[in-house]
Amino acid sequence: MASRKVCVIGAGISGISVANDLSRAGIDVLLVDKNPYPGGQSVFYGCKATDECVRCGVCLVREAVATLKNQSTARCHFSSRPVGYRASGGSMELDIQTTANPIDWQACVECGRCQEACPEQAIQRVPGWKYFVNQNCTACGKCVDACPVGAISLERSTETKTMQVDGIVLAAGFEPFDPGINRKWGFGANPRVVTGSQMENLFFQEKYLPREAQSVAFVQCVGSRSLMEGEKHCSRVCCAYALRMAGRLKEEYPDLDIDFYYMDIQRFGKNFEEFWKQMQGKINLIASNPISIRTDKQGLPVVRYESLPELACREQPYDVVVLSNGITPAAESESLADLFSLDLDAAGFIRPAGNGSSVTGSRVFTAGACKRPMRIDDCVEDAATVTRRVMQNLGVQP
Amino acid sequence: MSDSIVAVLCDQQCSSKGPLQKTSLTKRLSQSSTIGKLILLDKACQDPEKKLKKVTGRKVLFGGCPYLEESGFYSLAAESLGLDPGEMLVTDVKSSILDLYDNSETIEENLIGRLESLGRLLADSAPLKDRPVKLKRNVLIFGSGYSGLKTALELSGEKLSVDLVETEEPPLAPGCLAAGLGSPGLIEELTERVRTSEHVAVFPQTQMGPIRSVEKGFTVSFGRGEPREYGAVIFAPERTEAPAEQIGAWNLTRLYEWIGERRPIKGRIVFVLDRSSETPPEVTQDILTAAKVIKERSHAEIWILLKHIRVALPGLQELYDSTREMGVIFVKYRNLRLHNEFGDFQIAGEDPQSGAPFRIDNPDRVIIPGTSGLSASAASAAETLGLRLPGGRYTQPYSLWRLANESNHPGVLVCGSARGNMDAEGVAADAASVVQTLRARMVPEGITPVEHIASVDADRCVFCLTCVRVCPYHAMEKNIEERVAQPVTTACQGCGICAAECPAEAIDMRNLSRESVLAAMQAL
Amino acid sequence: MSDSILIVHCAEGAKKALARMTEEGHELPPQFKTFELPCTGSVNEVLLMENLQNGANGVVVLGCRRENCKHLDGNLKAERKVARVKRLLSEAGVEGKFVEMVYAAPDEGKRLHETLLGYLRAGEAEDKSK
Repeated sequence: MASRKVCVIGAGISGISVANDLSRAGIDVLLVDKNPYPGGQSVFYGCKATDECVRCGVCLVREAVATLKNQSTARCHFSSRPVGYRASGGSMELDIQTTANPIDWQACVECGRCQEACPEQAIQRVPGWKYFVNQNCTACGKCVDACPVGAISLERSTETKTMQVDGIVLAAGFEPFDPGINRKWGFGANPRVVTGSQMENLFFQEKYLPREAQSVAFVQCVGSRSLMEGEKHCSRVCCAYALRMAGRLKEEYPDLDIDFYYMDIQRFGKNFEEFWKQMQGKINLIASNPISIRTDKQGLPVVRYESLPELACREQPYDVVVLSNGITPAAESESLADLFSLDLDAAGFIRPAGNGSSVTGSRVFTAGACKRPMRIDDCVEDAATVTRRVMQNLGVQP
Repeated sequence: MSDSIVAVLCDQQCSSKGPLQKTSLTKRLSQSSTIGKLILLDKACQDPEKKLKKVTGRKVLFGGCPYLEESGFYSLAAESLGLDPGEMLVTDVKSSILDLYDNSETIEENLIGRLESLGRLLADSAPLKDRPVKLKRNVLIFGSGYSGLKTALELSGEKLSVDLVETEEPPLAPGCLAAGLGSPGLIEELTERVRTSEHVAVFPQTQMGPIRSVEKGFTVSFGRGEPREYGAVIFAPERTEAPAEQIGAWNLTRLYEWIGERRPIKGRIVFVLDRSSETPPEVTQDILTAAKVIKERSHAEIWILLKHIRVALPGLQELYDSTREMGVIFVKYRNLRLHNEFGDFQIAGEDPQSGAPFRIDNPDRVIIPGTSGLSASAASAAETLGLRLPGGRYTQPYSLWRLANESNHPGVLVCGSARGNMDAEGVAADAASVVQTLRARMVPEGITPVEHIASVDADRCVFCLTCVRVCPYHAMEKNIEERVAQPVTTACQGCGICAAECPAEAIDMRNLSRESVLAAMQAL
Repeated sequence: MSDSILIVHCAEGAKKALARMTEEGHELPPQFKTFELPCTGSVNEVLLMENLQNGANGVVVLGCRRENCKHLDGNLKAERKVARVKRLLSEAGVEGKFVEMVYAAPDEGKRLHETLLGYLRAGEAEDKSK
C-alpha cells in the first residue's frame, strides 16, 4: 500500500513536532512554512536557566529542529504558502507556492563564508540548520562569490506545485501582539521600550540589557485581557516568560531593580509554588496596570501608574521597560480558515478541527498556538495528541 | 578483521580554516599504535560510494561534519562496508575541533589526540550483534477513573490487549465531573463501554501482585493466576483531594458530591482559594461552574476569595464574567485570617492593593480546596513501578527531556490527571497522546539495546544493590538465586551511573569500559 | 601550568552547549581538550584523579543544569564526586591541579565560554603569583 502523505503547514515547534512524529510512523510528510527557515517564533528565543533549568522549553525547539534535520524523513518546503485547496470525495489536492531561497540547501556545506562576506547582515542561520537570506539583502552578490561550492544564486523564482495529500495539519502559530497600535505604551517612540518577543531575541543572542542598566520594568497583560486595548483573552504565556526572564536577569545583574506590573499571576509548570516563592524575593510586585509610558528628558521611559495604597498616580523611570506582549491569532488565520473551510472563534483563533473523532470527516487538523494560546511545552504535548488523531484518521496501524 | 584501525577524515575543503595537511597528519599518526592508516577524503559528501571503496576489512573511525551524518553518509558506509555497531565510530570534527581552535598547529594536535583517543575506545570495543527485543503487545492500565477509562477506550482501537486494574470505587474523575456536574452520567457511560469492550479485561486491585521488570516489559500476577506479561504499563489514577485544612470547612470533593446529590445549599457561602497552594485554572473552572449551579438552584450569597484571578484557559475569562453577572462576589485578598470556633467561621483580610480591610461574618459554609495529590494506594503503586514523584504530587520528573507521557521508568507511561491538573478535555487529549507515546516505544521491529548498556561482572558483584537503588530507570533487577544484580537491557539507557557508584567496581558499560575510557583520555 | 585542561562532558545538554558555543563563534584556547561520556554521572573519583596524575592540570566536569539532566540526577552525582576529589586534593596538599563542576544549559554559548576561559585565567594567575 502506498504510504500516506500528510502536509503540515507551519514549521514552528508544533509543526515540527507533528512532522517528526508522523515521519517516525512511516508517513510521508511535507512540511511547509512561509519563512525561509524552520522553527517559527520560538527558535529565536533564549534560554532562561539560572543555576537551575526553569523549563522554559527553548531547548526543546532546538531539539525538534535537530531531529528534523538528522532523523526525520519529512520533506521541507520553505518560503512556501498554501494557495489552493480542493477536496472531493476522498482525495485532497493542495497547491503550494514556493519562492526559491538564494541559498541551495542541497549544495550548502555550512562553511559560513557567505555570512562573513555579507555587508548587510542579511545572511542568518537558525542554530543547527543551514543559512538563509533575510530581508536585509541588497542583492550585492558578494555571497555568491564567497561560496566555495556555488550554492548561492540571486534569482528568486516562484513556482506553484500541486500535491495530492491524505491529510493536512495546520500549525500556523501565532502573531505577537503589536503594542505600537496604542500610543499609551510608548512602543516605537522610545528604543528602551521593548516587547517580550524582542527581549527573547536578546536572550537568544545572550545580550540581555545595556551595560549600565540598573532598573527594569516588566509590564504584564499588554494586549491581553482588555477588549479596549487589545484582545479579551489571557495569552497564557506572558506570566511564565516574564517571570523566568526576570529571574535570569536578576542572576546576570544581581543589583538590578526589577519592578513587575501585573493584574493577576497565572500559574504554570509543576513546581510553581517554589518558583513563585523564589521570585518574590527577586522582584518588586506592583499590582497595577500602567496608565501610560512616556519618555523623560534623559530619554528614559517613565511608567505612570495608579498606586492604590496612596490613592494617587505615581511615575517611575526605568532604564528598560519590557512590555509582555501576548498572543494573537496568526496573521494568516483568516485566509487559512477560508481556504480550508474552517471556523474562527470569537478571538480569531482557528477552531480545533479533526481532533474530536476518529471516524471519517474532514482530514484537516489543527495543532498548536493557532488554536489557542499555548506555551512551548503545551505545544509539544498537543503535537502528540494531534499525531494520534491523524494516524487514527488515516487508518495507520502499528 | 585486522587489528589496526583506519581513520577516515573528510578533508573539509569547505571549512573556513582551510584544508587539512595530509603529510603532517600521516607523519604524526605513523607513531600511533592504534591508528594504522589515515585516509583523507576530499569532500566526502560528494560521490560517497566511490570513495568508500578504499576501506574494507578493518574497524573504521570516521571524522567529518554534521552534514555527513545528515546526508546519510555514515549509515551508507556502515552498510556498504558490512560493519556492525561497535566496529565503527563516528565523530564530528568540524564543530568540535576545526571550529573550536584557530590555528592549524593546534588543530592538528587536537585532531591527532582525538583520533588516538577514540581509536583506543574503538580498539577495545566488541562488535554488537544485538537482536531487537519485541515487547509484549499487552498493556496494563492502572486506574479505573476517568483517565484510566478514557485511555482504555483509546487503546481498544489498536491491536493491543488491555488489562485494567480497578482502583477507585466509585470511579473518580477530575474536578466536578465525578459528580456529574458538567456532563451527567458520563462516568457511568464510560465505565459501561469499557467493561463491555472485548479488548479490555478488568481486574480488581486487591488481587494485584508485585510488578517485575523483564526484558519484554513487565510481569504481574493477579491472585493465584499465572503471571501475565505486558509490554507497557500506563499509570492513570485520578488525583484525590486532601480534606480541607480547617475543621468544619468543606473541600471541593465534598461540595461536588453534595451538589450532585441535589442537596440544598443555602445562605452565605464562601470559597477560599489560593490558601496553602496556588489554585490552578482547571480547578478554578470547576469552582465557577459549581458556583453557577448553586446560584441557579438556591440564590445563595456566594463569595469567592482569591489572590489571583486565573484566566489562562480558553473560555475562562468569559466564565468569570458570566459568574460575576449572576451575582457571585469576587474579592482579592492578602493576609487572610480564618477564625474557626467549633465550626463557626470569622473571615478577615485586606485588599492587596489598597490595604482596606474586609470581614465576612458567620458564613454558613466555607469551602477550601484541599491539596490534590495521589491516593495512598496510587502512591504505593507508583513506588512499586519505580516512579519518581517530585514533591509527592506529580508523577513525572521535572526534566524536560522526555516525551509527553514518559516517566523515569522506560515502559511505564503516565496519563491523565496523575500528570497534573487537567480538565475533562485535557484528559481526553492526554489519552490520545499516551497512545502516540506508546507507539513510539512498542515499535513492531522491537527495541535494540543501547550500545553502552551496563554489564555486571558476577564474580565481583557483592549484591549490595547500590546499582538497583541508584539507577534512574529501574533497569537493574535483583537476581536473588544467583545473588547478583542484572541489567534489563530494554530499559537500560546507558548512562553509566551504576558503574560509577558500584563500590566493588563490578559494573562496566559495554564498549566503554573503565580501562578503555582512561586510555582514551590519556591519549588526548 | 595552564598546560592542559580536560573537559569531560555529557552527550546530552553539555554537548549541545559546546556545539552552540562553537556555532556562535566562540573558540577555546588550545589547552582545552574535550571527552564525551553518556552522562556526567558516570565519572568517578578514580577517573578524575588518574587524569590529573597523567598530565592534565585541571579537569572540568561539564554537565547539565539541575533539573535538566536527562538521566535525572547524574549531574548532581558528578558534583558530589568532584567535591570529594577537591577535598582529597586539598587534604593531600596537592597544588597546581584542580577539578571543577560546571553546569551548562543546552542553549548557552557565551556564558559557557566565559566560564571556561575563567579557569584558564585562574590558572595563569596562580602561575604568576608563584
